[in-house]
Amino acid sequence: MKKITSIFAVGICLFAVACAKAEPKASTITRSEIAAAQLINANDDLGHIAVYFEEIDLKTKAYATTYRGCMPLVKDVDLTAPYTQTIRAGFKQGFANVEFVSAPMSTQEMKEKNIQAQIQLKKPTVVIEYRVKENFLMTDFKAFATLKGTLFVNNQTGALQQKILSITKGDEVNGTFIPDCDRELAPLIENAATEAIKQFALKNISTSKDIIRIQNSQK
Amino acid sequence: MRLFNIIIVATLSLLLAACETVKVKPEPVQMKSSDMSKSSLAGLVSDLDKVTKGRYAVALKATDWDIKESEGREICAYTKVELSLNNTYQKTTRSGFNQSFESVTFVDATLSEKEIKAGGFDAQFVIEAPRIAMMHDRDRRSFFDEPFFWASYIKGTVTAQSKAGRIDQMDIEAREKVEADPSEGCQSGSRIGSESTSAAIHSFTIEMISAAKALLNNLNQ
Repeated sequence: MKKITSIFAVGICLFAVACAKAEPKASTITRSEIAAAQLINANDDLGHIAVYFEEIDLKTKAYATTYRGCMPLVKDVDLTAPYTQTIRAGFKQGFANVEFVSAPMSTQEMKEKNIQAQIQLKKPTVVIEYRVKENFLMTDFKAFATLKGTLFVNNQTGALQQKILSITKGDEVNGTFIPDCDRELAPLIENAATEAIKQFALKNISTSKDIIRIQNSQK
Repeated sequence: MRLFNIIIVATLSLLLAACETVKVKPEPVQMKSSDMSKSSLAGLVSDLDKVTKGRYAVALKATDWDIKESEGREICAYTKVELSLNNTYQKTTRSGFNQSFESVTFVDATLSEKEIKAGGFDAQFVIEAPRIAMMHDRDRRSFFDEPFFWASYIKGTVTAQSKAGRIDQMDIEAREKVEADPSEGCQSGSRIGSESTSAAIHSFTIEMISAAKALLNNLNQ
């Protein structure tokens, strides 16, 4: 009986580890960060801008590129809230007059509402992975988060530009002695995902501004 | 002595069985106007599914996608991979342009502005040599199952030039992944490789045509 109880307890523990979560956080993006990321760093008055997000569900699972050193941990990572909050707050920082719309607008609607440009962000693809490497008694952990998406910007005349944007960020801890795999990996995955979201948002905001400036210069 | 011969023959047979060849040679896809609804630009560019009037020159850069490689040892040891994709790419993309534009002339080299005018073209589209990347692996996210998969990714650029000399450009990409049951083993490579690359070329062509139409619209503003 004692043996069965022990097996059961071990099973519960393994299950708990295998189903552990990593929780990335929303980031604050400053105006200076946006300005630094822009290619064209001039004239910040871009008029009334509409931003449309595709409905986003960014729940994913982190997975191992190798099983060495740790049992195969499956980590649930939900980027939905941090992504949405970071992007929204970032666009508000980046544009003086921005409006979030629930559906894409036609050029006619844009003219009626005097919206100079419309930015559309489709749902990005997310890949989160980790690697575990044993060096004799020490273990190294690395986690990577990649966000890739397409940005669309159109103006009232119907001119449309698109940019494929991709960001990969990682975090690592090296030389861990007798590691607790779950405890080591969770913060690395969180940090990598949080930073990837921030840099992805920053890239989208600064690229949008660059495109709008180019479109405005061609009017 | 006889036992020794049997062992030799058995070993050679095992080695031959292990040295299988994955042949990836997808059939070209005949484009349909309804395919355009799958474009990432659907809803953003009008009349994607309609034939665009006018005469257009298309410079479709050659690809070097007929490749012979050896599979990494980790997934399918000692497997040779033979990819024959150039012909599929050329035929699928040509079919896409012919389906979507009223009059298309495929040119071997990029035309100058003068040549665009002299040829009576409304615009020229240049499809920059796209890059293809593929991965044949096992999906480690499902630990107790680990299906085989073949993922294909194509990235390229479409440049449009009007007869008035205006130029605009867009990056395009497509990715497609096909899975196979683990019980199918490495032999599934030929099937999922062909399905994945065929689907990726098809999706890439849809993006290419959509981008060409979007750029033409931009140039005509």
